[in-house]
Amino acid sequence: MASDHALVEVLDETISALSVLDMSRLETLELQIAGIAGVRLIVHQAEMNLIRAKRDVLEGVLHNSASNLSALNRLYGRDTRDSWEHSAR
Amino acid sequence: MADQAALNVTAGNVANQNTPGYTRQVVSWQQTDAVTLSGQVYSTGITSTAVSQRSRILEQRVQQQTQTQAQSGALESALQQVENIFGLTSSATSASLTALGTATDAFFNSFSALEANPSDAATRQSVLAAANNLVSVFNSSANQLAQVTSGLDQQIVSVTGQINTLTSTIASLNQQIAHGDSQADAGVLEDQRQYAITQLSQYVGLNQMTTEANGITLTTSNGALLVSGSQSYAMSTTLVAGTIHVLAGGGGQDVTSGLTGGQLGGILEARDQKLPGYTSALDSFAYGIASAVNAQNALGVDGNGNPGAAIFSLPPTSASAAGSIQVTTSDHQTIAATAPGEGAAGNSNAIALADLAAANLVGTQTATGFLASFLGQIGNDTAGATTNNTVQQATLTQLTSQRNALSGVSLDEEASNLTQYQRSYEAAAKVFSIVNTIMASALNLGVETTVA
Repeated sequence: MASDHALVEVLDETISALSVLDMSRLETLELQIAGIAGVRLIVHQAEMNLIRAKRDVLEGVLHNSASNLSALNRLYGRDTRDSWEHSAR
Repeated sequence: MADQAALNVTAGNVANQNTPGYTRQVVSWQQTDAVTLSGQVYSTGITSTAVSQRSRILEQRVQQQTQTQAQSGALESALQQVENIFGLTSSATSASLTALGTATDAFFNSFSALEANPSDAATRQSVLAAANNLVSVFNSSANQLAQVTSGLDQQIVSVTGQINTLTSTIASLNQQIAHGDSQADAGVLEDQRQYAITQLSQYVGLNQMTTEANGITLTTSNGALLVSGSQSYAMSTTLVAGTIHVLAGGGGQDVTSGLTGGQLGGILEARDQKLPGYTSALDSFAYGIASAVNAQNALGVDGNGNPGAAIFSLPPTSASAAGSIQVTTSDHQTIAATAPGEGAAGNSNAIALADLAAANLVGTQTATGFLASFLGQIGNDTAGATTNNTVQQATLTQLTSQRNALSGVSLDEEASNLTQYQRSYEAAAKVFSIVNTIMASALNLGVETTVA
């Protein structure tokens, strides 16, 4: 049996890992949440607002991430870089 | 020699990893011309140069996100001040528990007590005490809202000064980069200019255009010129009808209404879009209660046998009512508890006064209903601003991380990074999807339930 605190922790950590695109951490969290979903989970009504707020944050970051990834994929291979040589040290 | 230069570049990257605005350098190797002697070709070796690479588009995305985040942060900060005025917190948002809710309830309850003892001096005095307390909360809340507005005005002046310092710096760097008249490394100047633009993005929304001679032109989000080549155009502030306005561009046009992005955008959003609504709602609340009580009191007979006079002094309309409302008397005989012809022991008008608690006093809402929706609106606005700011902060961190990771890497490394980003996104999306499923099950099953 898992508690709603576990859900809050996973959401917090997912938001944090997504903000730095920590792939290995996110894959671990993906497994962790799948495990939580597979067991009986007690969700207190009082905690639902907190979970909902964190879920909304994750949704917003995911939305922006999708936009960022799309832009990066479009930019890949295109020369959008400025390069300049430095004078002798 | 070339190896030593490469080591110097690496050492420079390590030494400057915490230098604001520093762009990581990579070594570029070039083979030197070969020499042919007696028909034999001899290599003369290779040379190396340090090269910085920066993606214009990634830089601009970081700057735009910086502006978005700074705006959401400034708005959140202002709204939290409003929440504090009304005693709202994320865990205690019940209107009846706030100072305003308690004072309103106590005021109407004092009329209920008056029903039972309409001629009792202490009970009548309690009505005046409750009225004075309610007025005190109205005045205090209105005063604090005005102080928040005044504080935002001061921030506008302060931020404008910071903007002017940075635009002046950027214009100077534009000149140095264009004319190469500095002894400094051009790459270092580019880094410094980029850092200054990022700092400027904290304060105001920008449009950025690259011009000839590697110059940069900057305008505000609504097109007022801030920097053009070596020339900067100072922002200023002026007082218009008691409100600080922002002037910008060569002609000093008023750009207040169209400014977005950065702290300035958030401050203006709070001051011009959010706070006026809260102030107006508070005024309507005060005016609605007080005018209804005055009107009902006028229909009754006071303790001296005269028609009831106004208990509250009010402006002609609801504008500024919360800040200016006062109790007109300290004489409890002013309260008209009895109806005309009822005699001194009558309580019909006291009952009618108490019944105002359930009447639609503010538009189509009761006082309690209006207060609940008013405070609920403030709570929702603040919670929304907090959520949005958290999202924007995480997004800024992500974009900065992407920019740094992609700076100066090969196309192969870039492809590898993109694959990792995509996988990261998919894992996070999966977490979101499962959380959604869990929440939907929990909601369907009700309070304190289990999800299998």
